[in-house]
Amino acid sequence: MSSTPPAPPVAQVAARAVQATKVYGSGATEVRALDGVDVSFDRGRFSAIMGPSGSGKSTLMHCMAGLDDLTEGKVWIGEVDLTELSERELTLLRREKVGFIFQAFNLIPTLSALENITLPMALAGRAPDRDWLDQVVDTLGLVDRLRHRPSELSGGEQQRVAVGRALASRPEIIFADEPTGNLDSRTGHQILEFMSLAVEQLGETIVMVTHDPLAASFADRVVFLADGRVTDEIVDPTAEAIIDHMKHLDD
Amino acid sequence: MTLVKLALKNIGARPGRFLLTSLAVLVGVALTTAVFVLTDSLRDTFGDLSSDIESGYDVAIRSEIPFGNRLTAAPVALEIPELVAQVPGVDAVQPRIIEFGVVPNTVDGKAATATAGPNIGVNWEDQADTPRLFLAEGRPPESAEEFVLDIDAAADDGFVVGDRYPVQTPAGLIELTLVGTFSFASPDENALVGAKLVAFDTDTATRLLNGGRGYDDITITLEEGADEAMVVAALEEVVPEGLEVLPREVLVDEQADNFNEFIDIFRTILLVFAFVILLVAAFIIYNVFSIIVGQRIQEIGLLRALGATGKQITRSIAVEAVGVGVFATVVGVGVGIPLSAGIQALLAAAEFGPDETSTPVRPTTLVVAVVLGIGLTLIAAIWPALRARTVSPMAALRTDFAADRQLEPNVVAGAALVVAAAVAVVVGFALDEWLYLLLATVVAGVLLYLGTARLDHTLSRVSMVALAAVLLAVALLADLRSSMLLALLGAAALITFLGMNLLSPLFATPVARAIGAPLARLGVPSRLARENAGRSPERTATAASALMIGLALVTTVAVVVSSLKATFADVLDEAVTADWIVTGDTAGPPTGFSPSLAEDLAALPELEAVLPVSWNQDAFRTVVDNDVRSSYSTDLRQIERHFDPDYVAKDESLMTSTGVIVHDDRADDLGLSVGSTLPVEFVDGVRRDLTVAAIFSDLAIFDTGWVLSSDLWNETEALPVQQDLYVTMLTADGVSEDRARDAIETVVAEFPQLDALTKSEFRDDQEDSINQVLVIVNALLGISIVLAMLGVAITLALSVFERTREIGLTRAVGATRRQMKRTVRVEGIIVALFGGLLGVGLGLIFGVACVQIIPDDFVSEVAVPWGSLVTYLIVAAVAGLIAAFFPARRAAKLDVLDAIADVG
Repeated sequence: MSSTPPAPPVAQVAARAVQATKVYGSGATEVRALDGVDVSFDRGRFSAIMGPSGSGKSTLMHCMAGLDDLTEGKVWIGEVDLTELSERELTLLRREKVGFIFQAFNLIPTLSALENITLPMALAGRAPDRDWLDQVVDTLGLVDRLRHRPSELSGGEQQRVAVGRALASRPEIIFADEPTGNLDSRTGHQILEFMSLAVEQLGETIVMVTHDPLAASFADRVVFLADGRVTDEIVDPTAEAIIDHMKHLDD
Repeated sequence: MTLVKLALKNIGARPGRFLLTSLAVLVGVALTTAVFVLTDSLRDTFGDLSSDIESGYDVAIRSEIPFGNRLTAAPVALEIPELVAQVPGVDAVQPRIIEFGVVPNTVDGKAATATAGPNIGVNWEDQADTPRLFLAEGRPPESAEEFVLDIDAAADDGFVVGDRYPVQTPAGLIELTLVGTFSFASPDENALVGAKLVAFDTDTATRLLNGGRGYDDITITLEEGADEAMVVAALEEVVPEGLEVLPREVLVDEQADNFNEFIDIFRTILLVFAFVILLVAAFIIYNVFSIIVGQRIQEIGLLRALGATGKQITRSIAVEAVGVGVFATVVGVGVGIPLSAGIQALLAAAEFGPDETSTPVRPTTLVVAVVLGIGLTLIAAIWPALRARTVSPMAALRTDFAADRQLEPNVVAGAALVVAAAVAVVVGFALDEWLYLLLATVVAGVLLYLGTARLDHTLSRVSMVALAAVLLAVALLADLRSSMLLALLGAAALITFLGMNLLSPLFATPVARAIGAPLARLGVPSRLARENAGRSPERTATAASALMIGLALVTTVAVVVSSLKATFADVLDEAVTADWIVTGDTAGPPTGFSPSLAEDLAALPELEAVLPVSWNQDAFRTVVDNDVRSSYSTDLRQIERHFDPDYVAKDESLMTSTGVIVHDDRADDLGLSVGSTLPVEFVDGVRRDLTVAAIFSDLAIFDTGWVLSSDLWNETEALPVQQDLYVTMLTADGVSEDRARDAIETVVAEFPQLDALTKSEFRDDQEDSINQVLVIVNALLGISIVLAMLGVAITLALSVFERTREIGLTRAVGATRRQMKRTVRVEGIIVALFGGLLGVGLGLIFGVACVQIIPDDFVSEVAVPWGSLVTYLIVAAVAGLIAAFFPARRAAKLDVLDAIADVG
């Protein structure tokens, strides 16, 4: 518990971390994956978190999404303080307010594309919003693939289904973990365009973790992480600007 | 709802695995169903037979039965029929006589013994209004020179009406003319179920079967329109004290109860085997579901990340288990019903039971099948399902993630559960009933595990086996009834089986490596197999567990049986001093034979001593405590020439017709010493004073602890006639064994179902029949081993599936298909041998403990059949090899490129 109460979260902030610290192991084997990270992500924006391997970018995402817990500090989604929630409340929060897109497409192999897309709502026991669902499926170009099983879809199609699953429940925020990591550049490009589209046209909020400057260039803002700390950020980045920045880091 | 759908889709996605998983439960349910249907069918059949046997009259009169049953009841005096015939309302009076062990001999000197039922002698009912016997050929017996035979018995052994045949009766071997054949209960169909029936005229039957002492009972038909209650009241007025008047229904029920008692024993024995199979099935289910949860850890993690609650995850796995359970139950019941019909057809072929099969499916059968099939599957799958809910959503994101199996420490809950376990044990002992003790201690084992799991992980792993060890120690050391001690042993075994699942992973790796060490020299594939078997100790341990149970039971039985044989040999050597024994075929109930045989043997000059021994079920009641005692009876003075009962004290002068010989434990209980008077009551209700003539300490021969004088039975008219159980003999001085045998056999030849055996022949004979029982038991336990093999096969198949990528890589770098096959097969052998070693080891412990617990009167000497144990290990290894057949083929068939591309 911190002695000074943190400032109340601002309304247009979708997710926020204050002094987020995550420590694995103890003593000699102690690893500080996150070392006092302060960061916030605005609503209706496409943000990217970048950093080299081991910088803590995935850990930051996991903790902000309520998948993993912090050693110290606080994280909010909207106005909800995740560190105050029980395991069950966290589960319900993920179900209601958070969407995920993973690197390995992570679809359930025995369910059809449509069933995969509507899975989070089915888990919550509520019916999907028909119009919204149609719009998402249409935007992603999956209309004639809905009956197919994941094994019958191409890699790009599978990831589009995963994007659809993240969008379908209209979460407050979507976290994407290297969503193009397993795709060739052309298909990856397509997916990123869909994600931008979701932010611009559907008004979604996306936070994406990536180490690919080209992927990050689709975002409205890039936050750089190194050794568990925020080092810098670029607003409205271009791929060149990001590459420059990273070269600069290496020096 | 989605997760239910997902569970069903998971089942649909791998139908082969689903079928294999279900198979073990299915077999268990099928067998249970078959046992219930079969025994219900037998109940129906024998229920019908009971009303056939007790038909054709309204009320019956017989001696009151103070204890024991109809067969040991005192006879009804000869003048009673005349007495009751005078009572107004009585139309017909029919005395009845029935006796077991009445056997006609065939022309070629064989005994026409019934193979699947008793041989019975009765009187021809010529006074009844509606007799039970219907003449088929010839005429009814009318004189002391004649008899009739049931139509099937006559046909089976070629009896011809008009010819003379020797008939074995309690009064000896009598040559009579067969004057007719008959059918029982119906003129169209002989309704005897496996029995063979001989009938004499009533006077002859009274003389031959009841020593002329009276009738077994008297049946009465009332005049039309007579008021039954009034007639019964009048009859009760007329008959002397000691007789009772009963409506027909009472006797029908009594008959049915007698039959049902046997059917229930039959049912219980078969259900024990079904239970063993279901136990093995439970372990297989547990095994498969543990692996399924392990394989789906990423999928479960994903579901958790997407917002599935732990409860939803557990429920989805439970739904899959219910799917397995429902399928196994439905198909199991479906298979069980025709299976029962098949068994009935086999029985009918063996001339037991009716020719037509019936398959009555009672609600109880279905309830038991559903509870066992679905309930057991759910119970076995609940641990893996609960474990699945501890999977963290992070598992979706990592590939090296293992389910967290440690429960959060909770000292209060843990301590409470441990205390509850202790309470369960105490309650088990307090209830003082073996079944409750067994259940309570097994529950205690589970509670103890749950409790310690919340205190300390390592402690919880040892907890169950530790409790089992304590129970075993108590069973070996405590001074309780044998049934309680055996219940403790059974509980120790069950808890060990459960506990081994927790404990054996701790040593599975080194043991599997050690077993694999000699195999590893065979080449790289075998070395890989050894590594694979040692790599995942949890899996090797669970895969082996079902086999462990099967082999532990087989080994236990083997140790007990070989100890039984050793003890038996010892008893013969030490307790029997006679040279010869004449006894009947050991199969079937001991029916006894006529005392005339012993008289004929005694007349032989080649023998110097002949001692007939009778068995008296529920012979008398000791007045002081009202306990009914079964006893032997013989010539007390002669006992010491033939046996060594280890007399503690004796007085030859007291060995008269009222003398009794008592085991020292019973003597202690009742405060008896030589010369004491012991008031007893026989079935005739008369109190007699016996005198203790000797006290003995070796129960090997006279296992009930009581021996009466046969003179007592012979001299007392009011008691039923006794037949002999066996006769022992000493060869006269200077007579060779062969000469003695020739002489004995000329006499025994009249009783073709009896054998004259020397001591060593008798031992071989007994060992043969023990071995026959062993073969049947092993055949039934064999089913559980086959199913256990299935468990190993499923595990191997799943591990091949899981290692697809690795197998692809091994193949890519140059392993041939043949080498791949060998790797899986050797792994199968190692896993099976691991289970085999555990099973045989545990079986050895349980077997030796069992021998120690069973009273020394039955088994006193521990004999371990080492040769058989080695055979069992070889059987285990072969089982592993067979189990690996399909998984090995699958591994060899994998396409290299597809396998490498596999990301699952």
